[in-house]
Amino acid sequence: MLLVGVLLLLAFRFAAAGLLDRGAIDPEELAPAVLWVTILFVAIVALSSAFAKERDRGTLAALLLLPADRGAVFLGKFFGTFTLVAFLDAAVLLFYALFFDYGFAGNGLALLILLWVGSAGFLSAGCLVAAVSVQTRSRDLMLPILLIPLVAFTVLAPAIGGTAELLAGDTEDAWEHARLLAAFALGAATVGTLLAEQVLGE
Amino acid sequence: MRTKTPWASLIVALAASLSILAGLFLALYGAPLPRTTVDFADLHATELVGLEVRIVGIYEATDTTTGLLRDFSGNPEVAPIQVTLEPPLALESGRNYTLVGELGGVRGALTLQASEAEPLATGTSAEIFFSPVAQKIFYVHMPTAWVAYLAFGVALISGLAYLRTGQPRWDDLGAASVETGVIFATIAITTGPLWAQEEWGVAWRWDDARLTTTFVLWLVYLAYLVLRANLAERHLRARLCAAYAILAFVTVPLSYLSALYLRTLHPQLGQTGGGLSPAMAAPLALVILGFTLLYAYIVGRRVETERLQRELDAAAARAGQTGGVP
Repeated sequence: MLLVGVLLLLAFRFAAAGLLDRGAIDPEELAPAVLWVTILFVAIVALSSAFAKERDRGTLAALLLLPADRGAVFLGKFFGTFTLVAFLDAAVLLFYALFFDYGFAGNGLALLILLWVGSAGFLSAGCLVAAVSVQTRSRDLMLPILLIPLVAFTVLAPAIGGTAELLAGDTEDAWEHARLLAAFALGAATVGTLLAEQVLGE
Repeated sequence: MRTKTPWASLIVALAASLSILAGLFLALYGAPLPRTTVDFADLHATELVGLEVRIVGIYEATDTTTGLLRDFSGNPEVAPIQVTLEPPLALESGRNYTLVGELGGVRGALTLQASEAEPLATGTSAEIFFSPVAQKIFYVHMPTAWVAYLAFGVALISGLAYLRTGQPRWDDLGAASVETGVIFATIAITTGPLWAQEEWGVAWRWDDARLTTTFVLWLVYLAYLVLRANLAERHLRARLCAAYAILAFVTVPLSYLSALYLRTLHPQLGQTGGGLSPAMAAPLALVILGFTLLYAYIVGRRVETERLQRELDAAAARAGQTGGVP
């Protein structure tokens, strides 16, 4: 998963090499889009393996035998994946700083928190979608197809907007966006918890 | 298994075709739209602030007036253009402008086009559409968009109903509705940019709430169809698709919200009736009725086909065969 993130960042670095060398764009302008597209794909890989492995090893079935609400299982999956992705977010941030030679204008920590809020948005919708897609035929392909339309405007757009504002020093507007992200994460997690019974199934 | 002649649906199909044809005929050959001219002097300047207007006619100003007119069609990011309203006006005919400052003392005929009819509720009516070509597209665009929204709404309700009752006919209805809705949404989303190019000067705007929301809907339900195609087992498919339809619908208002940070160019739903000129109302109503009936017909036939297919599968299973009938 970390490798996916690093490779994506490397690909972006190569893609932007000409622009950066000419000074046509600076790392600050690139950061929002590059960071979030990288994190989106890292989160998708994390989600995909979180569910696929459980299913292949039969541990998902074991989890479902627990005398607990399916919603609790869903929330457990969410927090588990989130913990993993939270570390990956930090790593992506570090590698961006390394590859693009950029210090995030001293806003590194605030940015990391914003990344976490946005990742929670991806993952709250993503956990339910992954639980759906893992039961389909071409599951690894289905996850992005099902997830990206759901998060494109609800998470990706405000996250990129918020990051750009944060890096530009416009903290107030950035938190406005963060609130929108948090609202989505909460809403999607609620729907996920309610639908877990139906989706996780027998 | 007995199939009866589907008289009811044939009648629906006939009514749909007649209604659409009559509506389009009226739209094409009916009376031309009255052009409303609004005298700026009749309006209070404050009522015009923030209103999107389109200067389409011949205008003349008697007094020198300053106001801010923001170019709305070409590049919305440019700073507001300071325009001095004195003859001759440095405004380009056929483009959209937003009045952001105060305008007063302007006399003469300005043909106004507002994308939001509401602020003009001062006894003056403004026509919404001017471009004759774009206006014709609208007779197809708006009804198909409406049917798409209706179809996705039906899909949500049947998804909820399926999860509650577990009855397969709800799943049939949801699937049929999404399939039909995607077709109508595709028509709406292709005619929209054609209309916008003519009317707004740009084919697509990413900061328009209605556009992006419809686009998301379209993507989401395409994904829904892909999901259906990738699930073979009937019950599992029904369950997961219903869940996805519900989750998908939750993201729609949020997509709308996030896009609402930036203004929408569309006439707001619910206000359109008041803003549309009466000449447009009759053909539009006919086409909407027609497309809705067409939707009902297609979905009805599709649900019936699914039901027969299920019966066939059940019969095949009873006969001891394995697998479904292709």
